This record gives sequence, C-alpha cells and structure tokens, in this order.
Amino acid sequence: MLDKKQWDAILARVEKPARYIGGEWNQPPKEGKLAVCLAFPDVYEVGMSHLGLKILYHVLTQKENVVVERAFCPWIDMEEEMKKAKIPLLSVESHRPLSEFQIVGFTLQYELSYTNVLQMLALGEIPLYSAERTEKHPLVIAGGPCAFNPEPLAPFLDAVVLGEGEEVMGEIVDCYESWQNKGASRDNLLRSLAEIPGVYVPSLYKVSYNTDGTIRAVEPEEGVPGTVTKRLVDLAGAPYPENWLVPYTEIVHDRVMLEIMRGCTRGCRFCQAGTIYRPLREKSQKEIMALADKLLKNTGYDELSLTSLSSSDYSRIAELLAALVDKYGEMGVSVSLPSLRTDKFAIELAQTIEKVRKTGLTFAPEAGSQRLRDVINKGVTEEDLISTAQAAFSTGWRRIKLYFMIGLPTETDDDVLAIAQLAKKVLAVGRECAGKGKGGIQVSVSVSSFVPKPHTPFQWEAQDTMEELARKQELLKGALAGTRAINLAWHQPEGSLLEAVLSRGDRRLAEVIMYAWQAGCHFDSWQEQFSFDSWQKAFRKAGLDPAFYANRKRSKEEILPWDHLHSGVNKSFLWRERQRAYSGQRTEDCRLGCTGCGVCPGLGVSNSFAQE
Amino acid sequence: MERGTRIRVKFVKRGELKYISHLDLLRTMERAVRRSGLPIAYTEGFHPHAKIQFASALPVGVESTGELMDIELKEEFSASEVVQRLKEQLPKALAPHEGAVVPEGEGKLTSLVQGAGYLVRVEPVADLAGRVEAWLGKDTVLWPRQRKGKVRHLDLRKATTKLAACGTDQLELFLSFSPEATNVRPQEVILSLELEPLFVVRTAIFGEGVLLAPLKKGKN
Repeated sequence: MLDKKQWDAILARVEKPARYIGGEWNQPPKEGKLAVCLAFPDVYEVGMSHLGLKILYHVLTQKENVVVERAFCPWIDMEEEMKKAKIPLLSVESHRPLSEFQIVGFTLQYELSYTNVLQMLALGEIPLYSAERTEKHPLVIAGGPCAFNPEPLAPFLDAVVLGEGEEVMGEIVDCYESWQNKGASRDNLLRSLAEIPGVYVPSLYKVSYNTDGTIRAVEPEEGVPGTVTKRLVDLAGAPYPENWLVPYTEIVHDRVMLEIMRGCTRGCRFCQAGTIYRPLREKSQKEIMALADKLLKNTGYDELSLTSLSSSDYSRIAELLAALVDKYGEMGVSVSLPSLRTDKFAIELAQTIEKVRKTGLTFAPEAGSQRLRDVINKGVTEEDLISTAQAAFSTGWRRIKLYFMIGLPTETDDDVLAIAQLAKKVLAVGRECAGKGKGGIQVSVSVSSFVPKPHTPFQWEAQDTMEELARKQELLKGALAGTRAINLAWHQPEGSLLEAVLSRGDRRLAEVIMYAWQAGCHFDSWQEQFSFDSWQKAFRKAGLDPAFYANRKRSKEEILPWDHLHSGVNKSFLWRERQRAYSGQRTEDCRLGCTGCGVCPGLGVSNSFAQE
Repeated sequence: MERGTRIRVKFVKRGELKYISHLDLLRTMERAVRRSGLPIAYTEGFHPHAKIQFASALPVGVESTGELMDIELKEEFSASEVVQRLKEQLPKALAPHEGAVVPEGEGKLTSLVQGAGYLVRVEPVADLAGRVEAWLGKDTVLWPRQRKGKVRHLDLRKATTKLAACGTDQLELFLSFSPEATNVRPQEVILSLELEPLFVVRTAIFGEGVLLAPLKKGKN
C-alpha cells in the first residue's frame, strides 16, 4: 500500500507534481477484473498529447470487464524520490504498481524512447526480458510506428501489434481472458496471441546471422505465420472518444485533437508514416462536425486542431473549416491545422482560421533544390513556395518557418546551399510584400538530419556520417551567417545517428540498449539527458558497430530485420521507388491514379474520400 | 449588449489538487465554465481571455477552504445557479460552495484583498509558543527568494500580521498582501521558524479588514 504521507511529502518536493496526481476531468469510474495499463515511455505532458493513447484508452474503457489506466515515465527528480522511498512505478489513476496489471502496453513513437521502456519496466518491478517473465507477471506488449521494426526491443516484448490498434486491442484482451480462464502456461498465451492477425510474437521467431553481420534467416516456429501483416480499421464510424481526460497541468498539445483522416497519398520517399498508414481514409464532414461538438462540450477546450498527416489535403477541407469557424468562432474557439501544404490554397485556409491573430506559418519543402525535391518525391516547386510566401506575407503574416532535411540520398553541397538560397528568397519576398517601414519579417529554418526508415524507399540507404552531417550544418550556417532575419535551428548529429541505428536495427541491439540503460541512459530524446558517450561505450561492450546499422548501404538481396513484418506496401514497390529516386523521377500522388504500392489489392481496401 | 453579471464564487482547493499551479487552476476553471455552458464574457483583443479573476494566487502545495474568484457573465444569472452549474463540472477537490452577485461598481477582486489566514501543522515542538514569541519580537526577518538567478530578500516579519501557536504542533498565521510584503508564502514563515510545514491550509481571504464573505455582501 502506498504510504499517503510519504507520497505527499514527495509530491511537495518534485518539479511539476501535477504530472503524478491523476484525477483529471472525465476519468471514467470503472471496475473490472482485467487491468490494462497504457504506458507511454516519456513524461506526462508528452504522453498525454498523444492521440493514439486517447483512442485506445477510449476503446478499452468501452470494453466490459476491463479497467484501463495510464503510466508515464517519471522525470529524473521523481525517479530518485521513488527509488529512495522504494515506491515502484505507479499508474496515474489508482496509483497501482505496474506489476499488478495483467497487460502493460507501451507505445513506441520514437526510437530515442526505447531506454525509457526498460526504465519503466524496471521501476515497475517487471522482469525486463520476456523470457524471465512468468504467468504471475503482466503481459508486456507494444505498438505504434516503431513497432514496424521492433527488433531492437524484441527480447523485452512479449507481443507487438502492427498497425492500428482499435480492433486488435480488444482481441488481445479477449485472448488473455480466455487464457486466464483456462489456466494454461505463458507459452500457450504467446502462441494464442500469435494467431491474432497483426500480432507479432518475437520470441517465436529465430534469427540467424551471416559472418558479415547481415541476417541469414528469420525462421518462425512451427505453426507460427511467416509474415505478420498490419491491421487496419475502417475509419468511418471507427471508435473515437467523445470526451477525454482534461489535464490540470499544461501538456504539449493542450487542445481537442480531431483526426479527420488517416493515411497520405503523396508518396514522399523518406516518410515512414506515408507508407504504414496507407490507404487514405477520410472521415465524413458530418462525423467530424458531430465529434467536434461533443468534444468541445465535454472538455471545455477552446482550441480544436484538425489532425492527420496532411490536413489541407482533406478533400472537403475548405467547407469543413468554414463550417467549424462559422459554428464555433463566436464561442471563442479557435481552429488550427497542424501542417499546411505549400500552395495558395493553403493560405486561403489559413486566412479562414486566423482572421485576427496571425502568428506564424510553417511549410516543409524538405530539400533546397528542385533536383533533390524530385529525388525525395516532395511535390513542391520553388514557384509554389515563393507564391505561397507572397500570399502569406501580403495578407499580413510576418513569420514563416521552413523545414528541411540534410543528408538525403544523392545530396551534394549545392543542394545544401540551395536551402540558404531558398530561405533568402522567401525573406526577400517578405520584405517586398511588407513594404517600407513594415519590418519584422522573420524566416525560421529548421534543419534536421535525414534518418532512413524501415518500410520506405530509402530503407536501403546509408545515413551520412556524423562528421559529414556536421560539415553540412557548418556549410549552411556559413551561408546564412550575417542574415539576422533568418534564424537557423538544427539537430545534434549524435541523436540522429542513434535514431538511424535503432530504427533499422536487429535483435542484437537489445544488448546495446540494455548496456546503455544500465549506464544510466534514459530520456535520450531530451538533449540535456542524452549521453552519447554512454551509448558509444554500450556499443563497444556489445561488440557492435553503429556504422554497420546507420552508415551502410544495403543491397537489394539483403534480408532486412523487418522483412517479415508487412505494412501492406510491397518491397518491390519500395525498390522501384528507390530506383526512380536515383533517376530523379517523380511519382504522382496516388489520388490521381494508382501507383501500384500493393496496399489496396493486398489488404482488400481502397482510398476513401469524405462525404458531406 | 444585455446587462451582464459578476458572480463571486467561493471554492475549495484540496487533496492532491493543491499541487496544481495558479495557471493550471485558471485553465481548469475556464474549461469548467465553458463546459457548464454559462455565457462567460471575454476580454477584447488579439488574445481573448475568459473574464475570470482570482483573489490571490495560492502557493503550490497549500490547500484552501475558501478561495475566491469573480466570474463575469454576459447575461444575468443567480449566484446559486452559477455555483450549482460549476459544481457539476468540477471535481470535489475544487468544489464551489458559496456565491454572490457582486454589486455594481465594486472594484476588482485583486484590489480588494488585503491578506489571508492560514493554519499550519508542524512536527510537535515543546516550546512552540516561545519560539513564536521570539520570532514576533524581531524587527525584520529577511528571507532569500531566488528568481531567474537573482536573489531577493523578503521581509517575512513585515508581512506577518498574526502568528500564534496552538498547542505544540499547530500555528495560525495571517499574512498581509500589501505591496511591500507581496507574495510571502506561508511555508517561508514556517521555515524561518526552523520548522518543517507538514500541512498548510488557507482558511480565509481578508479585504478591508473584514472577511470577504460573498453571501453577506451581495444578494443571492
């Protein structure tokens, strides 16, 4: 039992105690025998901003007999306090130790959160390795985008969900319940789980390696499927929360997030989300309006964000925005789009929603030169960007933010310098439009380092070395030096390297993750906590070379660690797209005609567009 | 525009909700008012804000039995209805329990408040009363407060209008909000007595020498 007095004394000492108190508005009062803990391997403010968590929380709340609670990774100060007081990791709702749940489900949103998974298991007093867990321990599962290559975490996870969790979560819970009623062995549970479509049980697959370190074979045990294919839901009428937890403390995305569609048809070659969430599915305008109404009423939020991978591509976006602004504008509700595509239409949309307050606009050309934008299949031309900027500046915006990547395949120094040239052109357009005496035009350039991701046409590519990335950053800094109205932000190459290693890693990396965590690594995505040195030591201790994973170009024949995990997009399509990239050929948006990725015929689905 | 109403609401802040900050409380109240459907008034300008005003920020970690806030509505409402509708949208730990219509012409809540009363529980000390007496006998008790790297010294003695020991483990404390003694936290006074505050609760907010009791001042 938690000593309330002791807990209270701890809360009084830690930073942001509201992270740990729970009791948020709309918390469902629920009883049930089967307790599921949704675990987000980062702090409360980050985890609570994640839409997937809200959706799955809702789905499980609806399920009879199930109690669903949340757990987040305690920040360093809280971790120390809890260790000192010998308090294990607790759920937010009932302050129940993690080890007392039947199922603990982690979401894997970014690679640099992997050590936090170990951290939470350890603080939760759950054996770290799947093989060490018995019938008495919780079932530890994971899902999310990184689950499309969960191999580096394979020995720590009992089962992994590929794709969308709305339906399969329920199936897993049912499977667990019937296993519990049977009183069978843990092995029996894992085997039954492996029979559920979309559920991957890593321990039932044996991986062998060639002498050069590449994979020789991934062999499933008898009766276990050779390939696991992702799950999908029909978004029309798919479960979506009509109310959700309203946090007391400010979270990263502190607003109603309303998913208007899933999937993206653009086919940018670096983008993993663009592959794994296919096909495109738009919600109807009617459904969106109804949800907006309930969510605003039930939460009291005054901001509504229309979320998706590319919200201005929603086919009825202009009508939808107009309807929302018309209905809620007077009530002081602001509507926002998280991302804008680069065209004048986007500016018209932005004008609909930002009549008064013109903050900043963000665009993502991703590459500086037209040649390189063709390589990555980012269908934005310089003309598009300039005319968009013109439209934005002349209608009153003062700040534009541009996202770019460096280290893209085939990139030359000219491509890097083109980023600076493009930013300067945008600034010049801004100054021209603003006219005399109307200064204050700001262009922000945010440059990240390209990380090749599994299930993309660039999954075979080598990442630039850290030295090369640093050199390119310097090149760009030099080209923008002295231009005070352009400010440049970039990512540390060390973090990008680690991300590249883990994103395309195999099972042997589990040892590295373990060593790094044992050396104190966690919260690696928080720059002040990230210790590259500890990671380097961990690689040496495990006898593995990060360059093998990050900076090595793979051959077409090589068995990739995730080849047995199927996103629905065929590997042959990805290779074809890679070849087209190298010859600078664009591939059209698949709204305009099928590009043959294989998702629709393979999974028996199709792109679906919004009805009124 | 129709004639609006200003309603003064007295509410509690208890349990673990003592750990939410003043800004958190503001957001929470604003959302509760929106959920309640009460027609709240907004400020003009680029960043409209709901017209909710609190008497005084409660330090994080301090509970309260009588916080005060003024809510401005676009239409006329009875105080009891406002209290009832807010109660339905707030956790028990922030429950409103009294309300009154603020008479027209009365100043802002922040301009009325002059001080607050607290009850503090500490580990038992044999001569608590003696320690208090010695403390009260001092002319000044300076206390360092760090903010953005700078250290400022607050005069705790000057801000304290009443300090009394109750038995060996409780203290009653009144703090003034006068400009020169602004924002002294009750915990700081207790720490300056070389005591560890175990539990602190704000019991009242004062204005113009009297308790700001909404029910007495306005009509219900």
